[in-house]
Formats: sequence, C-alpha cells, structure tokens
Amino acid sequence: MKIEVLGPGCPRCKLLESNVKKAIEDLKLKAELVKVSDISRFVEYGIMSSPALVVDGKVKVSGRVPEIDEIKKWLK
Amino acid sequence: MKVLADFFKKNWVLFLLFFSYLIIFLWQRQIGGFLSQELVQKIIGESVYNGWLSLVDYLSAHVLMCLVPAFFIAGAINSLIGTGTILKYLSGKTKKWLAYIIAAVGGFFLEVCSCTILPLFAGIWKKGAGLGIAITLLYAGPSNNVVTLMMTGQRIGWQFAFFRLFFSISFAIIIGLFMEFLFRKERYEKGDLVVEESKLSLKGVKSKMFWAVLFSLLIVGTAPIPSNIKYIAVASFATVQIAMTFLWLKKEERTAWWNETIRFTSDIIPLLILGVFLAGTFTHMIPKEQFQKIAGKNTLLANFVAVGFGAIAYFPALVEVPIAENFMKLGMSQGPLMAYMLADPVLSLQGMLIISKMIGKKKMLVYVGSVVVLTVLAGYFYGMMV
Repeated sequence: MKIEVLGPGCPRCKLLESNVKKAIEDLKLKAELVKVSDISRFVEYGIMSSPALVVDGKVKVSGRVPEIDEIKKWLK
Repeated sequence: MKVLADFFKKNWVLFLLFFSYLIIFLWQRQIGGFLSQELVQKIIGESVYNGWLSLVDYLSAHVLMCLVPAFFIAGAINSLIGTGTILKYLSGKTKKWLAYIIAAVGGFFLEVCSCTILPLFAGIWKKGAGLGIAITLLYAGPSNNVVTLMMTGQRIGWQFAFFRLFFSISFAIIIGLFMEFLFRKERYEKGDLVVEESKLSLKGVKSKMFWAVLFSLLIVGTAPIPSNIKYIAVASFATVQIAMTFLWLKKEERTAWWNETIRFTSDIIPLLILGVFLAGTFTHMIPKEQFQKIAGKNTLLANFVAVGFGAIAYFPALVEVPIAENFMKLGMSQGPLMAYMLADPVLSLQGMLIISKMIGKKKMLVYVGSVVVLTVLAGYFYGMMV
C-alpha cells in the first residue's frame, strides 16, 4: 500500500503526517509513507487545499486534518 | 496526568496569552514596587524598553475584544462552512463574472496564508477556472481577511482599513482580468478538482441566527462605545452564542470549531507578539528626520520606496499592521502607508520565486509589474485625498 501525505510544509501537514504514522503503527500495516511537497503533484491529483491524504492514488481527504480513527477506516 | 499534558500540548497558546496578560497586569499596577519603570528602562536600554511598551499597548483589552471574536469567526468559517463551499465556485463550472467576484471577496472568508494559497492557485489555474481567476485569488487571498481588517481598523484607523479593503478587492479583479486578456491564447488543461462539501447540521433560520450573533459579537466588541455598555453587550451576545453552540451543534462540530480556532490563534499570536516587540524596538533605532525625508511626504517616489520595502521585507501574517503603525508614528505620510499595506502581504521575494517557477518568468513579471504600478498609484491618490 502506498500512502502519500501532500503538504508544502505547514504545521497542519506535519500533524496529518504524525496522525497517519500513528494509524499505521496501530494497525501494524506494511505501508510506504511518502511526503509530497511539490505543488505540481497536487495539481495532478486535483488537490487545491492542503494538507491532503492520498491512498493508492485515490484522494481521501483534502483541506483538513482527519482524526486517527477516520484515517484507520481508509487504510483497512 | 496524561490528559492534562495533552490539553496543554493542544492549547498552549491559551497559557501563553494568560501569562502575557498576567505580566502586563502586574506591570501596569507596579506590583513589586522595587522594580520602578525608570530602573527597568535603564537595565534593558531605551530601544528594548520601547518594544516592551508597544507590546503592552498592543495587548490591551480593546485589542483583545476585537481579536478574540475574529479568531472564533475565522475558526468557524474554516470548520463549519469549509473551504469547499467557496472553492466549488472556482472549479470552472460557474459563470466567469461570478467566479471573479467570489475569488476577490472569498479571500475574506477563506483563511489563507501564503502556504495554503499556492496549491489553491495552481489547482485553479491548471484545472479550474483559469489564469485570471487564479491571479485574482492569489492577490486577494492573503491581503483580505476578517482578522487583518479588524486589526488595521483598530490600530491605524477605520477609514484607512476600508479603503485598503476596497483597493485590494478592485485590484484583484483588475489584475486578474488584465492577465486573462493578455494570455488568452494559452490553453490550460481541463480536469476535475477535489472539492469537499461541508456537512453543517445548522440550516435555515438557525444558521442565519448563528452567524448573525457571531458577527454582532465582533462588531460590538470593536465599536467605539462606552466600555460599560460594551461589556454588557459582549457578555450577553457571548451567552447567546454559547447557548446556540451547545444546543444546535453536534459534538464533533464543536470540537472541530474549537480546534480550528486554537490552531489559527497559535499560528498567529506568538509571531504577532514577537513582531510587535521587535517592530517597537527597531523603529526606535531609526533616525526620525532621515525617515521623514524619504517617507514623510506623499510623493510618487515615497510610494514606490514603500512598495519596494514591502516586497523585500517579509513579515508573517498580520505583523504588517504593527510595522505600519510604527511607521505612522515615525511620521510616514498616509499615501506611502497605504501603498506599503497594499503591497506587503502580496509581494515577497520568496513568493515571486515560487510563482515564477509555476507560471514562468514572463507571467510573473507582468503580475508583479501590475501590482507595483497599481499599489503605487493607489497610495499616491489616497495620500492626495486625505
């Protein structure tokens, strides 16, 4: 599974990244976590507001930081 | 203990504010007695002392009364309305004229810093409504928002604040249309943008009342009315607001609102405190006469220098207000002051580099050129008018 956290480096993006990490640890998943800060990649996914979470090429959330439980639902 | 630690970690900005006010309260009442103000001035030096005094002045009660409701409004807009409601108008499916207006005014309701504006810009340009509207948003986004408007009005003057708002909304549209016209031959790819719709449980009359009371709180907190009437009005509006929040909003919505408000506050307050202090300290070191020679009169050159300074110097959101206030105290004329306030949030070297990488040097130069020309002229004419 490939998980991408998109954000130019704002505090909310870091919060999303740490939430995702916790979710991965809790579920004991084998997943590849990538941080994307290149804005042209955002456009490719059609993402306008950061931070955003993309799981296996599908945009799950954009523009807000979801809670850990919400992230777990998408990773299962 | 863990709950307490978590609470502190999330809400540390509240403690920061609390201690700042405690120290200022003690200072103003000279508690301790032995630390006389003259002695403090001698120990820390005149410039640092001046920085401290401007901080005390800034964190006064009337600033708090307008900032706190503004933070809650910004938080509510972000968490309860959601950016999606506004962004869907910019995704390319709306009428062009409406999209321009939404992009120019929407910045007022979207809390955008330079860090969130760039993905927005790139998305709207490449896959949404096009270059012109993206430029409009790029210009209007960082300069207009509830908090900056209130702060500018409170510290520099309401006439000034409203003219600044008027100028930046109209310039946003003018520059957007100009660039759309200039580069009309270039095509952009069409595509779908991800827009998250909000799912607010408030609807109809309830929703109208909720927002009406929230904005009344801001207006009453800021309005120049006698303080005893003001405190009563603020307290009663706040009570109604709290009651509505607990009766009508779902628990998740309340948490989301609180979290957004706290996040917004912790993004801005520490930098603002530092900015006010440093601005007060350093402007005290600037020789007044030389400063007035450059910026004391409303000339085209003075306006140009003010815009240039705004472009070179980079200050975090909202810190441009104390900087401008200090310039005003040093004797800057109203025209250059307006030019500076219009240019500073929009132009920065770092921003220009990133934009140029995205849209190319030619478009970037046209954009920056039109911003410079319009802001210099606006400052000049505003200075002649007042």
